[in-house]
Amino acid sequence: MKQAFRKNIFRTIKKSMGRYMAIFAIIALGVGFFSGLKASKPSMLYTAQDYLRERQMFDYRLISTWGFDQEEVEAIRALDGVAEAEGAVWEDFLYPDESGREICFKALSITESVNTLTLLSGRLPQADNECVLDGYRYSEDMIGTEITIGENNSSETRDAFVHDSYTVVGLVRSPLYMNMERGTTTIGNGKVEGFIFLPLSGFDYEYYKEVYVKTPLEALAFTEEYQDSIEDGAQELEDGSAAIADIRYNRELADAREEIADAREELADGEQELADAKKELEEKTGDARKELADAREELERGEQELADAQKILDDGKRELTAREQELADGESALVDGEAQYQAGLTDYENGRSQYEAGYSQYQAGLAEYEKNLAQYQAFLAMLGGNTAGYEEQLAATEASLEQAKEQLDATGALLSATKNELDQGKAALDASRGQLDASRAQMEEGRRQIEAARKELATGQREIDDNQKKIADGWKEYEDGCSELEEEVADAEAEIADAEEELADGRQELADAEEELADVEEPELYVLDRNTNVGYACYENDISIVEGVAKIFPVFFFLIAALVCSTTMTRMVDDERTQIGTLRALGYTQGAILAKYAIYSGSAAGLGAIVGYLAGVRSFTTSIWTAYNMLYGFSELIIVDNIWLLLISLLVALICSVGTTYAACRLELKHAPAELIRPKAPPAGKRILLERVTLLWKHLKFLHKVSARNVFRFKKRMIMMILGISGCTALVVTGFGVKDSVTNIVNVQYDEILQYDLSATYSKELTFDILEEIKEEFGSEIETAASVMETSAEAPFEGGSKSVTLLVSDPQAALGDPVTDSINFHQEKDGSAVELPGDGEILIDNRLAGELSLEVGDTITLKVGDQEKPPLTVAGIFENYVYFYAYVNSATYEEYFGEAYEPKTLYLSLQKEADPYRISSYLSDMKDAAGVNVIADMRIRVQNIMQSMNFIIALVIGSAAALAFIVLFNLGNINISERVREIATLKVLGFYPRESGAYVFRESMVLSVMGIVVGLPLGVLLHTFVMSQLKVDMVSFHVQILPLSYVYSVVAVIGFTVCVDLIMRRKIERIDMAESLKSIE
Amino acid sequence: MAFIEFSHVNKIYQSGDVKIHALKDASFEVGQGEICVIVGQSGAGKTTLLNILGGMDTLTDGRIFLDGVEVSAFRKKQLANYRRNDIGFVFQFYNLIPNLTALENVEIASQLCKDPLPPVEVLSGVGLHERMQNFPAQLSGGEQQRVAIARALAKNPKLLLCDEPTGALDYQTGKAILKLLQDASRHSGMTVIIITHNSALTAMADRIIRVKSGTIDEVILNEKIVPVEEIEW
Repeated sequence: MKQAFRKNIFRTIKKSMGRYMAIFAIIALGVGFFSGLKASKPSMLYTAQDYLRERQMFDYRLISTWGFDQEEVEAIRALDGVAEAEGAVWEDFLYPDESGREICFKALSITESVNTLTLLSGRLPQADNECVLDGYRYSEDMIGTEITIGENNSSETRDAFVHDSYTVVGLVRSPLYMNMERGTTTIGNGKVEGFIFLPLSGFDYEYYKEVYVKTPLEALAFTEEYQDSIEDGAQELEDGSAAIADIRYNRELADAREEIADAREELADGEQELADAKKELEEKTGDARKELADAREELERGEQELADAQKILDDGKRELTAREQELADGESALVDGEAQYQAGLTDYENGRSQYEAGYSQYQAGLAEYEKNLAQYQAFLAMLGGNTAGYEEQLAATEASLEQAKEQLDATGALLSATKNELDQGKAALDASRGQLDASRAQMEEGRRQIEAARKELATGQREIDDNQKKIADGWKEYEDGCSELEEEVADAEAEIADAEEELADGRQELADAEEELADVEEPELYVLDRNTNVGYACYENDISIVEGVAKIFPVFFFLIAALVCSTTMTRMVDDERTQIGTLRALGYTQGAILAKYAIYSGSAAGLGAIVGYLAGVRSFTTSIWTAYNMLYGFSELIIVDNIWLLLISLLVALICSVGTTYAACRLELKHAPAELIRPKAPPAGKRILLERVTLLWKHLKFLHKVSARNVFRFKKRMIMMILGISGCTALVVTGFGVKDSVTNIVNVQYDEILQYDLSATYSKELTFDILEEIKEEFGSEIETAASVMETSAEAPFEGGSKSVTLLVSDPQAALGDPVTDSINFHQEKDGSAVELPGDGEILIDNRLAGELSLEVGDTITLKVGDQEKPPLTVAGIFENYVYFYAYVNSATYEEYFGEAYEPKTLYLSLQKEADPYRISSYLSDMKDAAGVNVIADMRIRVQNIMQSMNFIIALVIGSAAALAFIVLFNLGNINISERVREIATLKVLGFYPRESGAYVFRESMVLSVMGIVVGLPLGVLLHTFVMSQLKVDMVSFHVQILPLSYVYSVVAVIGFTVCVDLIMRRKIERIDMAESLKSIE
Repeated sequence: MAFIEFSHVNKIYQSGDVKIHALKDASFEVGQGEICVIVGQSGAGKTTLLNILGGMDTLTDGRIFLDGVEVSAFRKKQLANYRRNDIGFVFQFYNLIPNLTALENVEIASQLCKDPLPPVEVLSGVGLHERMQNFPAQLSGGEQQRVAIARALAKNPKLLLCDEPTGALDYQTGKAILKLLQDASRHSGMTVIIITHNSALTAMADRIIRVKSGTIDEVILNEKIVPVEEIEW
């Protein structure tokens, strides 16, 4: 390129900086808006992805009705597809805050490998009585304070904590709470106000309440890849962890069974033992009784014997006495005999002495005789001493001797006779002596015998006595034995009774245990993914709104940018017409000249695109993030630059600028250079259509006529102006309209459509008791209570299916109030009530009707599970914005869905002043309560989505304003520069500044008004389109623009026009009247 | 006192460090009803003079009177009023408003001032009765300049200022225009000042002012006024 040519370009730029800047600015704005909105979601998404990856947010959360022990956690960690698993516990508790108000907190255990905390200030807990506090909701002032587990907590809650209070040592964020929502609880007012994290050791727990699982998945959060993988892996994980959970279940079941078996066995043993014991007792008592009987018999026999013995003894005694008597008699006879004997002895003595005397005589004769006798004895000796038996004989021999002697001795015979006599006497005496002695001896003997007998008797007596005593003892013993036996039997029986009782207890226990065993439910395992985390689930939805806006608005901006570029460049080419002609005449090619303007506009647009991209991406994302920050304050925004976005922006910017430049140049370059050198003939004045309406035209003020004609004089500019203004009007209208459509749905949904404040679902069919209980507790606070059945169905349509909440109620139900008290079924259009459907009919909401393109009278086929249900006729379409709802009556439900109608859900409308959270907490605590929803929570959730939208709307309106400004400014500028000469002339003619301003601006006002007139319907269209693009799955919007919004839009656009006019007026004032003297270029 | 009086008028343009002394101590007088031709070469200061006299520009020092009123003392607003009521202006390039018909171009001026002449009459006077409803683009250059003159005359001004009124016209048409101006002056006694670089035109003037390098070179009262038809150049 020639240097002079380059210089020319630079000079041109320098000289027409305003024009250059206009292109730059409009492109920068368009690109900034486009790239800013486009980059916002990816940046916010990436910020969250990065945050979640860094904070190791769980992929799955396992909950089991049985809890988990460490072993199970280890086993889960060892499962395929599990990178990390960590058990955790939590507990909701009441915490009396500094003002003494009791609020609900959730305490969670700190996990090391998942859901790691971000420390905002302070430090992490080191001791088990330290905690870190919710950093979103509380400030550093809280560090050092105590979080007390309030007195009013249930003992279960208190038992779950090791300490009564925990010292706050730091503030944290947790990936579990990406947004401000803290969830609900069954305690207190039912609303969790904040969380604390404690070391695991700060909890007193037996089992982990949940297990957080990380997969080795590399896919980023929120991506389809991630979602698919997680969905795919869930089943496997569920199976795997269910198997793990079953181990303990089976073991415990087996243990329990074994225990029961043992118990049963033990019981059987016990029974056997008891039976044995009974038998033994019986046996024993039998023996004992027999023994006792024997003993008794023996005793009796002994007694008998003893009595017999006594009798004998007595007989003995008596005999003894008789014997004694006898003895005494004998003794006295003996004494008499003795006396006789003595007398005989004396007589004998006397006779003896006589005899002696005679004997001595005789002796002498005897000596002789003895001599004979000695002979004789010698003879005897010869016999050998055997005299004992021969004494008599000897005596007889003697006698014979004697006799012989007698013969010899006559005297001796007499003597011998006397002697004999004496001897006889003596013998008689001796005999009597002997007799006496014998009788004495006998007596003695008898005495001795008596003594002996006495002794014997005594002994016998003693013995008897002894025996008697023994028997007495025996009796006693017997008695003792008897009573002992009785006692023992009684004891044994008591023992048996005890044992029986014990056994009965045991049996009962066993039965209980068996029943319990039968009742023991298998561990119910739930595998939850991140979508059950409110923060995570809402996040994508919330940030998607930006994307919806990014879809359509930028197109509009670019269109207007192209328009501005086009008018600007056309004007420029017009301005430099002669220069172009000169250059052409000098020999520059068309291409070179085209290049000049292409470079001019292209460089402006390119710079604008780059600056717009850089500024837009940064400022838009940052400011949108600031708005979201109120909801999602989890980390600093990471701005993601997208080179493609920049390239696309550049491309579009260049098309807008270079393209329009080319179009403008081509027109001029077609002319021959000679023609170009000559001034362009000014556009001819023309009569306008309005003049034909003479009646009106006549009444117009002269200057107004001029303006009217001027308006239509520059057709192209008029079209540009109208397009620009209408575009801006449309943008502003759309902005306000989006706001109207969005802000109102919360009110419409939760004030007009859903009229209930609480919905409580029970695990069993509702009863009067439940209703009574609630009414008794909160009677005055509850306005209406309707019983319904909430179930879900799929509404399939081509290319997808929608999950519908199917409401079923019995219009004739006696239980509670009619459902229409809780849900106001009405038409979207005019608010007129939609009648409840008849049998075989269904009411659907307008969202569903829209998705399925259904109208009243059409049929709809719902699916439950995989089962297609018979088609139902749409009896009415009612207004609804959040979720999808359909309604059938109970008869239809039972007939068409083939299931029993069981209303389990209660819709409660409360009095204004009632606190829904207090009631909610009560309801959650009720028996069989399965879940309570506070509508206010839903409302806030939806409102949050809306609020983030409001900010974006403000951005849109602001950008639209900027756009309007640039367009108006640019067009105004062009208008003035085109008409400098005319204005100067008017000034020379003596127009006051005000008049000359009005002369020009009456036109732009008229054009603005026309633009507005065109723009309003355009805005309605754009709004409709934008709303159709703004899809948030959970909610749809009440597409409407309030009258006031039109007013605002009109005022805003006119305001911009006036603003631009004010600036332009100064420009007009600065126009030198000398311009009028110049020649036409 | 004369109808127009310039006394020691200086005009210095300052652009950056460069000072241009456009008028140096210019003093002259023009009587009422006179046709005055200001003549000079390009850059002599004619246009500056015209601008100042026409209330389009202010002077640096000196005084200007028109009909006994000191124009040089006027402020912006008064200047606008002055242009509006007292001055009629005829441009070299006519400066008609393209979007207005001939009549309307006259009307736009006449509606501004206090006692205007009827536009239709004025237009008829300049011989454009038939073309009143035509737009400038439909008129020839001479016709356009007639409209411009009619526009100036319709205001019934005290002074008609003409800047090279024939500059963009061919010889014959230029003559016709000058004739028109002369007739206007003679019939209504209007003071007319014509600025031109064409010395030939001086012949028709009552008073000739020669300008040279910002100074008034000479002021000549023309004794021998030649009718326009007889002027040749």
